Amino acid sequence: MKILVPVKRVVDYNVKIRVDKETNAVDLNNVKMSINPFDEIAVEEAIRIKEGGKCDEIVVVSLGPEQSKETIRNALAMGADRGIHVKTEHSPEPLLVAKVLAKIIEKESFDLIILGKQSIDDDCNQTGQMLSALLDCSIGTYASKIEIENDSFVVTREIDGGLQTIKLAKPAVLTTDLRLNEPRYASLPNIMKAKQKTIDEVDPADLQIEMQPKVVTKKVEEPPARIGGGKVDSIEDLVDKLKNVSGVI
Amino acid sequence: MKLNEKQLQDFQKKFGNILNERDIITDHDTIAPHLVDWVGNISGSSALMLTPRNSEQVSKILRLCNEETIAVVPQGGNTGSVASGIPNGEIILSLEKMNNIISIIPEDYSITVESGCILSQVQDAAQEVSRFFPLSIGSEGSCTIGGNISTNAGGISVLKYGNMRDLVLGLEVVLADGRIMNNLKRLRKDNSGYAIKHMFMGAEGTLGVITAACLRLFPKIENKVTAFASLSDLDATIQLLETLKSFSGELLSSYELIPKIGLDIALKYGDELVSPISDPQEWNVIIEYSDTKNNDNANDSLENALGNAIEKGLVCNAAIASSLSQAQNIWKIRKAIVEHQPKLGGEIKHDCSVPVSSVPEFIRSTTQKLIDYLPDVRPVPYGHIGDGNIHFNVCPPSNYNPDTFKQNTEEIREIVYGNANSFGGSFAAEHGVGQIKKKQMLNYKDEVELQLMKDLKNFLDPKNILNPDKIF
Repeated sequence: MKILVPVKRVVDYNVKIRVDKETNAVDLNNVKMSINPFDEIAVEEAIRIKEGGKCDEIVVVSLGPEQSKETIRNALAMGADRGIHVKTEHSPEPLLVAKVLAKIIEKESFDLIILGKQSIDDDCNQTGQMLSALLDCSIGTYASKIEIENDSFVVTREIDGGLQTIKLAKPAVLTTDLRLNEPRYASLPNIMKAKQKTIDEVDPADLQIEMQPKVVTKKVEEPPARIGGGKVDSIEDLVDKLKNVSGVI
Repeated sequence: MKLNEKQLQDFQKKFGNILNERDIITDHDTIAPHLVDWVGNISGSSALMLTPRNSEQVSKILRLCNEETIAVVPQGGNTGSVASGIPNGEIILSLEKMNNIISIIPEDYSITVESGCILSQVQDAAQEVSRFFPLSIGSEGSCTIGGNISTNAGGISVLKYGNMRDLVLGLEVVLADGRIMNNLKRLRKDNSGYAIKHMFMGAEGTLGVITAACLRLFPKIENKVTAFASLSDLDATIQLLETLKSFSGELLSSYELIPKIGLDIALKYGDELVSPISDPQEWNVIIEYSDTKNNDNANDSLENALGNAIEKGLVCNAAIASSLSQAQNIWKIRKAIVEHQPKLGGEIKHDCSVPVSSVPEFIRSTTQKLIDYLPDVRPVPYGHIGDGNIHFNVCPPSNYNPDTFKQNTEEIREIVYGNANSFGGSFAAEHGVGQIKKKQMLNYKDEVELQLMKDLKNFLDPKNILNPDKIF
């Protein structure tokens, strides 16, 4: 079995996001970038399936600028086998990503594609679903448990109010939820080995895909700052403030 | 000296001429948290707490106290480990309301603050002007700058930036007689006579009350790389340190020892922690590199150094955090050891230091001496071994009665500190002396040095009104 894991380079989860007013975008200068946490869970799951003897090769693919290779290397250091870097200037929108992934899957077939349910930068939660539509294959979103039974996948999904277990035929697209696993740390010997692993470069033009976005970002702004509370001296004062300042009574 | 009811009322009135009424506190519940030390072992008493708002008020308070021979205990965030800020009947002089940042001058890489500022407040203020204040200790969210200076606090960044003493450019100190010493200079160089300011650092509030400080800032750290490495044996801890320093000494900011028993405590009792590597050995270290550049430099450098250490057989396995979450999780292991150690049936804490090169032999011989004294005792030596500073905590054998174990405290402390002393070490590395190490002060401190300290105390505070009965 071959598994494809798409990964995205995003602003680290622990970084406080700032807006660059000049470029009308999130400020990425001197900001720590990491693998999207849900994608990291996807990589970990693929490695566990391989360690269970049910997978022959894990391929990691990332779309983005040159530095996206670091994110691929990171996944290779965790234990993936090979990388594909699709070079794009910015991080493209979900439909374009899904189209690129579909082309790659057309070239070499995969039995399972595991994606993060969403990336933490744009929170779209669309790529996996769009990809399964383009491939016309089965999909299981929000997976918190994945088991392999012969030629099918038994997947536990986190849904509103509980868990749902479904069985999917190969090939399938799965998207990961937070509780699927706890990703491992890249060990130093594996980081060294990862440097020798292959990362193929792909130009979107070679895939005959025009990376023209359909969504235009009109404005990026920080959430309004919270106005701090204050102390009142008496109940009368409180009632007065509630009436005349906040207007709730 | 304890105040009786009449004296208390009398002084309340006198302090009323200096302070606003709300800054003279007699309410028992408000004072209560200021009477128990952070470790929870020692509690004191006090009927009156003063919370001055500026150094003028501190000056007037001390002048009055000196005239009337009434003792005060200066207190910051009350996060100390040796009960130095715990009163025994004295008035509490809390600096918590003097918490203004006076000025911050990025070009001078300096920040001037009142001594009641919380450490994290100073770290954040520096961050906002793209600077870095490096002191980092477990209590940084509640300890104060005044306390940090008075105890010469250490922490996890001493290896690169030094102790609090090294981070202070100038001080404002109110003396016992109420005079204000103004040394709030932001100079790197000032060789005009004695460095008097250094006397007040680490003095635990016995020589004067620090009311403001000018502190050093550093270029902002843009990239941190955190790793967890498992070592082939105890000697490798120091050999690896040497390797890291020779490869990239300027980047190395933390080097913390984590013994297997400490890791086990963290994994068992900590909140969903996982081991960074699958096969941890008996001795492990947390390594952190700090770089002012946000590029691959620090990562590559650490990878190379660790790769070299693996080839040399010093390191068995290592993991490098690939995200800030993973880095935080590595540090959570370190914090969980501190927090959950008492769950092994109690613990006897020690804060000692030895020359860095002696660390392995010190740990080995102390462990042997402890086992000879109490078979199956469980030592948990961990901490800042990059500075030769070991928190040599000792836990009882499993299923041992915690109360019986506590009765051995004095003997066990003597074993650990006596052994540290025989290595040319210190019984008070970064926590100070306070109330709990006065005995060691007598036993191990050079006689002449100790006498000089007493002379100095007598000179600056002849009526013994500043934090009496502490240190010696």
